[in-house]
Amino acid sequence: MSDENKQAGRLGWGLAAKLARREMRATPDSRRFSGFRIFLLCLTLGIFTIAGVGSLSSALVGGMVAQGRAILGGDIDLRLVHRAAFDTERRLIETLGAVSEVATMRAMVRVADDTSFEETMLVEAKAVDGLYPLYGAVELSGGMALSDALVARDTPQGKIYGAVAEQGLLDRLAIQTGTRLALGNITVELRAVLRHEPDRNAGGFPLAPRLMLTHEALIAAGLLRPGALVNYHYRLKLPAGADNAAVKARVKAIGEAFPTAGWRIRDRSDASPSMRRFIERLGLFLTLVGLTALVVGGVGVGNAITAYLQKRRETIAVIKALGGTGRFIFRIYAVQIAALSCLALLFGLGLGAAVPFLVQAFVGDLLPVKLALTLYPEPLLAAAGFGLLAAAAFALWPLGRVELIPVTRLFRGDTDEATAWPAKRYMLGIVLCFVGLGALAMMISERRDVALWFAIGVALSYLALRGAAGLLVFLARRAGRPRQPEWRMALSNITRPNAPVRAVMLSIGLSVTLLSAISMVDGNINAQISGDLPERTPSFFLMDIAPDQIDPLMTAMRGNEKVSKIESAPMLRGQILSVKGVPSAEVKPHPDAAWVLRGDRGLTYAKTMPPGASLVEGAWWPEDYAGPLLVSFDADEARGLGLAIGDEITVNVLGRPLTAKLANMRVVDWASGGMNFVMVFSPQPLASAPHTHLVSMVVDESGEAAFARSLARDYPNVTLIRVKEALATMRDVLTNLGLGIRAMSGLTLLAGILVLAGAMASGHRARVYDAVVMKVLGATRKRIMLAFALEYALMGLGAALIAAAVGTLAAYALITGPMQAEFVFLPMTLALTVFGAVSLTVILGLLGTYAALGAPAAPVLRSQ
Amino acid sequence: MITIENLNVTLPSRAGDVNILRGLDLQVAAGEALGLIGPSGSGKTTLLMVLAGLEPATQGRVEVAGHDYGQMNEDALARFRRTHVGIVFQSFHLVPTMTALENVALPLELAGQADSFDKAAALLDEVGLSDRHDHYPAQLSGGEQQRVALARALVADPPVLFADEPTGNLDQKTGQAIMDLILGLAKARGTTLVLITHDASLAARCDRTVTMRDGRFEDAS
Repeated sequence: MSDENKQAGRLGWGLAAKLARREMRATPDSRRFSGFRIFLLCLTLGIFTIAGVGSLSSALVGGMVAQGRAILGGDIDLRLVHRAAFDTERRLIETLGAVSEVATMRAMVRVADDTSFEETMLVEAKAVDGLYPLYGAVELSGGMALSDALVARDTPQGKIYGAVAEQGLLDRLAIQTGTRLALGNITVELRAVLRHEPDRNAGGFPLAPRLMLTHEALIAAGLLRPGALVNYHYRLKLPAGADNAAVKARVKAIGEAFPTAGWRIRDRSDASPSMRRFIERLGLFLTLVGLTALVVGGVGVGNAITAYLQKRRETIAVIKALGGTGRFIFRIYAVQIAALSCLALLFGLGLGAAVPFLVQAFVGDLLPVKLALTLYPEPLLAAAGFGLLAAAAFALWPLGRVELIPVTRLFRGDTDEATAWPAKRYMLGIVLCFVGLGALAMMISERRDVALWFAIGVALSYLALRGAAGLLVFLARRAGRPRQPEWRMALSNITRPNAPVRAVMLSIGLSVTLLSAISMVDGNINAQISGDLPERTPSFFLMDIAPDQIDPLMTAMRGNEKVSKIESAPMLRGQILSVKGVPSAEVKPHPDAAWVLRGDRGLTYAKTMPPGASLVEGAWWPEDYAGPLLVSFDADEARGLGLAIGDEITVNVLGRPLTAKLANMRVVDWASGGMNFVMVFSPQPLASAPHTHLVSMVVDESGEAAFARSLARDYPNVTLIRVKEALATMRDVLTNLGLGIRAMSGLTLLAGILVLAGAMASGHRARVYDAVVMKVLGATRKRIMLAFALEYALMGLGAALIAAAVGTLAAYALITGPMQAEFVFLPMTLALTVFGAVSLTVILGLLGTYAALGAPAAPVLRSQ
Repeated sequence: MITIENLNVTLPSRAGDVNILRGLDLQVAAGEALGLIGPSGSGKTTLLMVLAGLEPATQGRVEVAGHDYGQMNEDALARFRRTHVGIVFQSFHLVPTMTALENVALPLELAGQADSFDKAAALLDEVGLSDRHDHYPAQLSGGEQQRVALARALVADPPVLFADEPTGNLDQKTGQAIMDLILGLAKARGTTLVLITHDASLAARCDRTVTMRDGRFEDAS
């Protein structure tokens, strides 16, 4: 080894770490971490957000697994649609363990005394047996036992069945417990309020309050007509001590025993896949929001390092003068940044890991499941990875430029920032870190495409905002020298060296991009469900119409001048068993089409193509077609499943496997909110199977009450769904969800504010000097303030306009893409966001510079 | 020890290129003390920067302690400075986050010497700061800070010492004491000294004086 190499080797990481430690230790005239508070806060906040969201989401899913039995209602849940289990099936199930039978359906109730049928209401009816619940406990008002509440009593008015209901039903009908309700052919007495139902979240999205009663009551109500949309659940309680492997083995055995029965079988390990998916997706979305907070915070990280290195210029130059190489100086500061990043990592991960514990302690009651409280290493590792990559990505630029600080600064005292780019190795490092961030986001994401688009979106926003910052400086230079001193000062503040333009525009811009995208999506969802519906959207759906009822009902409705746009279709439910001969479980669909294979889907048959649809491939079958079963598929979903014309799918309908050939693909406008089916079959043999009809229509508001009354009187078994009410229920859920999402984006905004505060702090000295000179020359504080306000308003406006444009674009892509809805441009929402962003920038800017206004002139002038 | 031939330095500026040094030739013998005087802007500091390898020459040859700067890149020059050059600045330029002892030991640490703190402590004692080892620069007077800077410049026992207005920020009495120390230590160690100063009487204490004006040497005495 040559002498030079030996010497170069000595200036290694060890000595760099030693000097770094000296720099970081408290000295009499410095405070430890001085200037690094923003760095620590930004990084900690980002890591905390990601670690917290991940831990909470894992704790929720973990809670679901831990309480899987109670949520599912048993160790195994077997579900049939439309029909109860045949005796042979039931007998086999009973050999496996204790069986509890539960039936659920939607139905209409009204107060029994209300003979004028004034008010009818949709309920989610659930019939239970004496074994219910196998796991967990039902909680009723007054501490009543469920068996007592549901018992039937003979009274002079006839047999009265017992029932319990959720508070929502009592509130909507303005009734108390003890009230008697009419349900189909029977009268039920509400004996108690249902406070807790252990398996409430096992099913899908509830449209109405729960009404629980006995099987005997539901049968007596006369609602279980052939083809009625009833879900029959058979919950199994396996012998104590049955481990998961045994449970899985049972599930497999049942599936194999009745391969074509149409069972949907779930076990306790994944009690509510839809809820788990929802939690995981929400978790991913919020993680991506957290990542935005980290990227915004990264801008602060970069600024803090730049400001720190600015203060250390002399030290750097001295070490260089004494023989330190550029690479060695990079190491000294890289060690310091790495140490601080590790500190932020510890804080962030510690706080993030505590989130599930805090949530359970403070708002545990509001959660659908009790959280499984433990440390979840996976999300913590992901958060650590994101945090370190983001810190490195944003630190490498200023650190890499350390090498460029010339020693001549010592002699000349020049303050101009080097504008040169760091050496290639640092640029490569920066690129690799950003690629790593994107790759990690994709790795933890079930929907890689979503993560990829997110990464592209953030990168584009970042570049657009950097470009906008450059443009603003260029325009400010081009604007010349205005006569008003306030304008002149504002413009020169923007164009001077080390101006905070880029930091302000990036921090405010990125957080406002996210906020405007979320506001736009939220506003669009609200517009879709709060009455600004397209005119063609029906106001009512009627379900469970028996074949013998459809014709008289249609005739009656056509005769009603208040009723229009009536559409009707036969309706069955079926589950896709296989696609092109491959069992559904083994099919790998496009993520957007995966839902078609999940559980059972509504399907119909038709002689002619449904109105409003248009064929994109293949041909519709002749009206008198009587050949082998054909199917028409929604084009997007068919392609998502990899189907081509002529391919076969097998669907289980009423326990019978039916294989159909794909005859055509059509475009379905899901945004219309009307009657749409993914699959439309040729009529035979479905037309001969027991089924019901679904009808949608628009009813004039003035005729709604009368229409509902006549329907309740003449067709007590028909379920009426008011679109408005269903949407209102959805809106309640979405509002809560929206609050959560906004709270998360609030964290991004907080990161933006921190970055802004950091930028203010680093430029504080220059501002104090400006303010003092202005004051010496006779400017009032008001005028100085105005100049600062103008400067911040210009930066805020520039950032907000870019952010609004990019945010709107992102919202447009999201709504017209994955959400398959019509995009409504909401200028007011956007204007408010822009106004808010500009105000925030100005207020924060003025708060940050207020101290500068109060600075006494003499000490400042003496120190210059 | 030091040879410069036809040295030119031109720096770019917004108003156009500025010729700071114009065709300088100079020889300084080993162990010689050279005083460099001249008015502000005459190019003294730039010459010192070129000699210390901190500013590249636009044209000409610079050779210090047998090393031709024209053949060395920035990192090679940095390594060269560690062992061959000591610099004392007018503004001391101590690292504020390091104690006096750590500041003095720094060049030895950079040179990878194991006994750096012992040597640094001995030199601090020699410049009269035996009770100030653990003080930070902010806790020292101007004269004390310059003593630390001098100790730091000499600790690696460099053959060449550059001093740029070392007494410019000190009162007369303290300045005098520092000059005594610099000249005494340089002489005792056989170090070649290049001293920049405004003060002709200080320069006169050197073996030889050179006056600069407008980037050129006026005469030699």
